[in-house]
Amino acid sequence: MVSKSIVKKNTYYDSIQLLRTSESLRSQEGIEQALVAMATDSNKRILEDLGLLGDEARAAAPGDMLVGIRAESEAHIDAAIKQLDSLLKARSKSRSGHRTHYSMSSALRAMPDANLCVVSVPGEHALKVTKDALEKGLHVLVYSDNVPLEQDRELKEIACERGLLCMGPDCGVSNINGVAFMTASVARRGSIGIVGASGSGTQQIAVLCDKEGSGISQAIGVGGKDLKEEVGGLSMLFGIDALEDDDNTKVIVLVSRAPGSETLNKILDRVRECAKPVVIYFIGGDKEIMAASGATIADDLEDAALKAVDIAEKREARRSIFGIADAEIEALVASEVEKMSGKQRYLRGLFCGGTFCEEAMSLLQESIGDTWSNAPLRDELKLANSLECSEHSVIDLGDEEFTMGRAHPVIDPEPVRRAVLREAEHDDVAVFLMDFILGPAIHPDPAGAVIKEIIEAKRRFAESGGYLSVVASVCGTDGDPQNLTEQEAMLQDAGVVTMPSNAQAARLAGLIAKAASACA
Amino acid sequence: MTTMISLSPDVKEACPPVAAISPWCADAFRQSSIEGRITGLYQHAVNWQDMAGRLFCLVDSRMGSVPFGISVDVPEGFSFLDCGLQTGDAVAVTTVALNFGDGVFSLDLSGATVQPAPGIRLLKTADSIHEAMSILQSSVSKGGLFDYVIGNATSRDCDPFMEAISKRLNTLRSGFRIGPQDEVIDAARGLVGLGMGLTPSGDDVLVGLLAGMSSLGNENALKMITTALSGQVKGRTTDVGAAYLENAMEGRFSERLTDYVNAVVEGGNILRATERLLAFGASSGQDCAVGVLSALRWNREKKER
Repeated sequence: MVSKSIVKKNTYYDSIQLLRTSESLRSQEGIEQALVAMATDSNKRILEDLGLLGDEARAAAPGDMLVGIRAESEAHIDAAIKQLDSLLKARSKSRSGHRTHYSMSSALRAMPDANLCVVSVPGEHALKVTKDALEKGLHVLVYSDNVPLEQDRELKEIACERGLLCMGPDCGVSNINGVAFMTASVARRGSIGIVGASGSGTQQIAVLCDKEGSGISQAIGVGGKDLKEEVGGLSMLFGIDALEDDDNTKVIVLVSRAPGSETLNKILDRVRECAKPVVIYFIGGDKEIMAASGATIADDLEDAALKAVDIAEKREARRSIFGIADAEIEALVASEVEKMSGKQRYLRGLFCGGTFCEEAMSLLQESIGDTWSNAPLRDELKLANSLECSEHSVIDLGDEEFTMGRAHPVIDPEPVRRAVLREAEHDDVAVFLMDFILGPAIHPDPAGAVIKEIIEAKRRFAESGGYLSVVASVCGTDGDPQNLTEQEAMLQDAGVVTMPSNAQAARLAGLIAKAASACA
Repeated sequence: MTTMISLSPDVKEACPPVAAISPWCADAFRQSSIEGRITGLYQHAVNWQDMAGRLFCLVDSRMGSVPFGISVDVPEGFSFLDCGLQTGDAVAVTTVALNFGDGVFSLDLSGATVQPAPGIRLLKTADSIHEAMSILQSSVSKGGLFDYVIGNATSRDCDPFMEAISKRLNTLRSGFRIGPQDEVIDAARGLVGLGMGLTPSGDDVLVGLLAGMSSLGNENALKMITTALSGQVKGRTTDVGAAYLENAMEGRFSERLTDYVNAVVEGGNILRATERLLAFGASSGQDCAVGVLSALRWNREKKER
């Protein structure tokens, strides 16, 4: 290793620029350590301790700038120093063309044409910031969660009065005018409009419309609590109005967990009057009551997407539970189960998407009955401890208990990695059911981030004479930066069975668990 | 109260009106005429140093007043970088005029009235400290001290300067509980000039600590730090860092920092105060805020014991 320090007389840059320059230098080939700072006594002492301070640097004054580098060779140091000036002057990629504003007024002065504001502040401050945006005439997308229901309603009432769209609070997915907001996928544009009180539900329908060769006009996320009685579905009603007036929308899809009965009636009354065809998928909602509104009722998220595409593209309904022949599914189930040990019988669902988790539990009832969960369909099925699964269990890893003080698992998949290894300790487990979600703001490689753990889990079962079946769906498109095809291929290479939708993955995993139980 | 000052007819077109002049500057200008050189040019400020090495600052009034400065009302989009001035240009100041670059840029100070900076008020409620931390956490960007001192340890980036600052703050924290010891004095001195940037993070966090301790009325803690730093600032950090720190040791702080402390200790509009403070410098605002909140948290810890 060789070290060198250089002095730039009477030169200064701001701290962020010096930090970025230090990091850029350190990331170069052959560089072990690099620091750039003003030549104060304290800083010189740090460089001295690191063996980065030469004689010239020792004599530098506080107004001078110091650069200390340690590298494998002189050539590496020379290469780094050659780049120093351009690094110091360069603006980082994330900053190019962007400016940080510290008030909404300042941001609006810089961009007077802006008409939508994304609010992502701690929940207790969301009311004030969002009100400010609405008062300035901006539509809002409120990503913040933990906003009290009365404030959720207050914001939506203000927005409605002003003719503005209030997406959220707790809105994680929206595609507006072709732009994927927050954790949404990049989906093709088309004539299907979605209003969703479910982030992963909205996203699943959008990407399946894309997969079917159709596309979406707008996907309006309204926040997970919009259809609670206290809020009354104000934003969903506003969204239906907006899509009914939108010339590019031919069919409207509504997706949510089951609303309260009063709110459901309001929504259905509005659907009854809607001039455009409406497809509804409310998980756990009474299909007969909903069908009376004249809407087309879907059985699952995939069904909602296919029915919407059928209507929008005026195509014949073609629907089987799986996209392939039943005989092929039977053969697939048999080949997965035949390698298992006699002990293996249970299913473990490990989900990032809350709606995927709920949809899976609902569909699994057809094959394996009730499942335990941290977010169960019925209270009596709640796990005492989310880290200790029992029999057939399905875990929502995006639930608040896992995200308190840390990023959601679609951004930081650490809880998924841990869950895979933890559940692989149980030799009575037969099948994992998983979801992977793609999008511009999601982890850059969701499958790759968990693949080692999946391989390790499979290895553990193989070592003890068993076989772990892993069934997954990837919610995304080839337009997403992670690329759907590549993510699916990576999982398949690791022995994961990938299905085109969460509904199909849940049904297949249920059949595998059922068959494994029968053999055990 | 802000006093608007009329401009000389010959400079009216080119120059912005003076909004406020700090008491420290006014005293310095009254004592004698000052000659110096521009030492720093920024979008929102010009710094210059006189022959005695004192630093002065002309600053866009939207950035708030600074204890060693004159603030001027400039039009939207105005930048001192576009005034034709250069580092090293001559500066001459009398009680009636401020002249940069031999007439390139002049201000009429003849009617200037001094505007005292707002004072730091005493802690009324400790209830807002948690809220202030939560707001700061959601507002800060990478590059400042928050993650190292208050934030999540997993986001640390192994920056040796930040690690060193964090260690020295921990030593100061124990000094806050048990009183001055040699290692506490060394830690305070070791923060001077430590860290990247034109005002190193160590200076900024010390300024924040002093501001926070002022709001606690804790004379012992203030004395512990100011005594440790006495005679240890000049020449040991950048000129700008030294100017802020020496003023802070005398109880003079920038308007934005003062507003931040007052918002936290009186339960005011912390979100707005945080946004304004963070806009100050690249990471200086964040580092000052970390200092303020550290002082307030240490005080709470001490009481809980």
